[in-house]
Amino acid sequence: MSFTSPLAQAAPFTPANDAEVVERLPARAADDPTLRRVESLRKQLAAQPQDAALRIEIARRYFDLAMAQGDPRYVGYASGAIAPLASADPRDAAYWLVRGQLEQYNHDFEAALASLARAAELAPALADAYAWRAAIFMVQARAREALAECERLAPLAEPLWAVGCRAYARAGLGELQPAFDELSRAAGASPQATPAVRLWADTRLAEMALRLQRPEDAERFFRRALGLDITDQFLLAAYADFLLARQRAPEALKLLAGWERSDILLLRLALAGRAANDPRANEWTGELRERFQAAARRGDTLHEWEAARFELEVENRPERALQLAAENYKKQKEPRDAEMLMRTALAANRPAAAEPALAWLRSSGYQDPALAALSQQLAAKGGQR
Amino acid sequence: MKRLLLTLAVWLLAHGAALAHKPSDSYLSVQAGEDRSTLTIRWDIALRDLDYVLQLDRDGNGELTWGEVRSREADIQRLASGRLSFVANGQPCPWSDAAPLQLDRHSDGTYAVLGFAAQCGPLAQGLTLRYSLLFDVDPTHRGLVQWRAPGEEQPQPLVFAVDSAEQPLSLEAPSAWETLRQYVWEGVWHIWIGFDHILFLLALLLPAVLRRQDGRWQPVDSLRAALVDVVKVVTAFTLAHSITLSLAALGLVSLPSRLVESVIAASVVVAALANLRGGRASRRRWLMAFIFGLIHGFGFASVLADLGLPQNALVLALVGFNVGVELGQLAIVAVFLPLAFALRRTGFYRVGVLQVGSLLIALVALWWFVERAFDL
Repeated sequence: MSFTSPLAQAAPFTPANDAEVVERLPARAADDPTLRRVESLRKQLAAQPQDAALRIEIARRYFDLAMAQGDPRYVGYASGAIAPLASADPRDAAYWLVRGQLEQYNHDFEAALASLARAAELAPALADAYAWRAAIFMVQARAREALAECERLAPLAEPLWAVGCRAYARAGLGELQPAFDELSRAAGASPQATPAVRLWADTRLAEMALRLQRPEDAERFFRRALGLDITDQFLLAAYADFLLARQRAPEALKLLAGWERSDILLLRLALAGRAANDPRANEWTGELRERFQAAARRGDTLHEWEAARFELEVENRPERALQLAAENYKKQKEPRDAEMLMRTALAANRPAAAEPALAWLRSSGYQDPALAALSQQLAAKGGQR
Repeated sequence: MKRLLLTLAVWLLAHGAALAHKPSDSYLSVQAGEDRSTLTIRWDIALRDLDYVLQLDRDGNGELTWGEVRSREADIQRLASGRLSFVANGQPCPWSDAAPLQLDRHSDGTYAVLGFAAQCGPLAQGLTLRYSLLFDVDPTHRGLVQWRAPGEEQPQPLVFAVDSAEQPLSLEAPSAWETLRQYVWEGVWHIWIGFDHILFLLALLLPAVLRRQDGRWQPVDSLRAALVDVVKVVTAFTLAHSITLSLAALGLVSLPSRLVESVIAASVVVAALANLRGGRASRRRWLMAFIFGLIHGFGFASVLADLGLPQNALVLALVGFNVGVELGQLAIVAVFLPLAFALRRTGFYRVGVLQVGSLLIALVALWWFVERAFDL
């Protein structure tokens, strides 16, 4: 990156008067009870820095804040809070749970699995530990191991959640239709389930319906999930992708209005803007480019999937996209990661580079017409089917 | 509530961790003066980060005014100067000349801009920067440093993190070695994932352990004979694609990529078919390697263009990439040659590998050709 990058240095200025507001802090402690609580815990900690339980509590709250608001600084604060405990090898399950969560956030999956196993060992009824392990196994395309964690979770969690965990794992093991049937039955029979669980289940059902080539059903599930009125950027992203794939960019633009602050949604905005010839498309593209450059500068590799899609579909640089997708696939092996590797390998005319994804597709029995079509195209270009 | 969070968490995770905001970075530019003893420093630190440590938002209304920031200038300077130090020749460099606090806007908010200088005495060897801003409260924080050595135009980027909080600042020009290493690796990587280049090379190398006698293939007697043949082919291919890769990368020649890709596919077909016929062409494979190598060079060039070339180290990157391609090739040869040599007397090699293999290569490449030429 050049020294003259707009990210780095521009001309500094001095505000004209003291009353000028120069920065708005992201969440006002005054309005946000969660933030206010953690701020007061921090003050307590300053008075008693040896209090391990307090440190764990602060870390847990910061991690929840990070998940809710998508702000990576909170992840940093959570890590900072528990960092001094590491050398003492604590025997507190809560410590290992939050440590595992933080490790998975940084894509250090093996360490995260170990920490979560430690948490489960110290507190065998800690459902969170199994749930997180299941989720990590799914990210690593280890569906069988995920399924085993779901079985451990089942007696500890609410029924829809347990069914969802199992169905999600089974759908990755070539049992798509029965998994879909089971989950849609359970979702229909659990109106009392918490909205967050229903949101999760409906989004998964929409994805499975797409793989079963039932787009009308998929849309119905997406809409049902949106109807729960929980703001969830990942649901928005999934539905926006659905709309984009069906040439319904104007609807995607409406869906995502005002979501520029989220990287993953800004990417969809840029794509929809281009498809719909929206005048803001260039601005969104430029902003996104700047964010990816900033991430690259600090050596951040947490959103390589988005960066790969950006290079492929916006910047039209398939080689670079392939590089990012291949790098991403070393750690994250979900179907969408495999799909990105296959798409970029195809575009870059390097079918051999898609081999890891193709090998997974051959061995897992994963069913998805989109992936099957990609694998055929790759085979035609010299990749192994 | 607990369960709700649990589900949410897994739901979030299942989609990969996404970042809606930037993590915490500070931006430092450090420049060595012509006198080779003064360091000039500009340091941009996010107001949000300063607020987290120093509680700048005194009235707690979530808005920072210039007055709230300015009144804490001394505390900010103290924090900064305690979290950064230069050590030259074993001695810490004392600070001087703090400029008045200013502000600047970055993509993720407003930053305080600190300006000061450090007096190091004559900079000879062993200049070190220690950086520890925020590491105690946010281990994901990074210090992004642009370091300009004395007399250097081009700054060197350095990233300071918890586990790399102390790094030497090189007084030499930005490391050419680093650039070279990076591009060598890119070259190796691209020949390995470039199926068409590999098949072309293999098609040319398959007959290297055999010789043509009375219209039949006979095994060569010595490894030396096979080696000479391999060296001729590889050298010719290397020479040719280096020429065109350089010409294209320097912007002197360019060809439409569809043409290049199609001809590359065609070259694989021709090379493989020559093995089946075993005529003159198969004896002059080095010539084929040279002629088609010219086209393969354009193929590599498009890869290099996608990677982007550093303008300040163009030639270095080019040489590095080329060397990488060669190393990648040699690795393939190193695997192929001993195997082929060991098998050369077998019917399996002469029929199964050479004949059937070449036929398969030709068919695959023919399909590529059709696809690329007619844009299927």
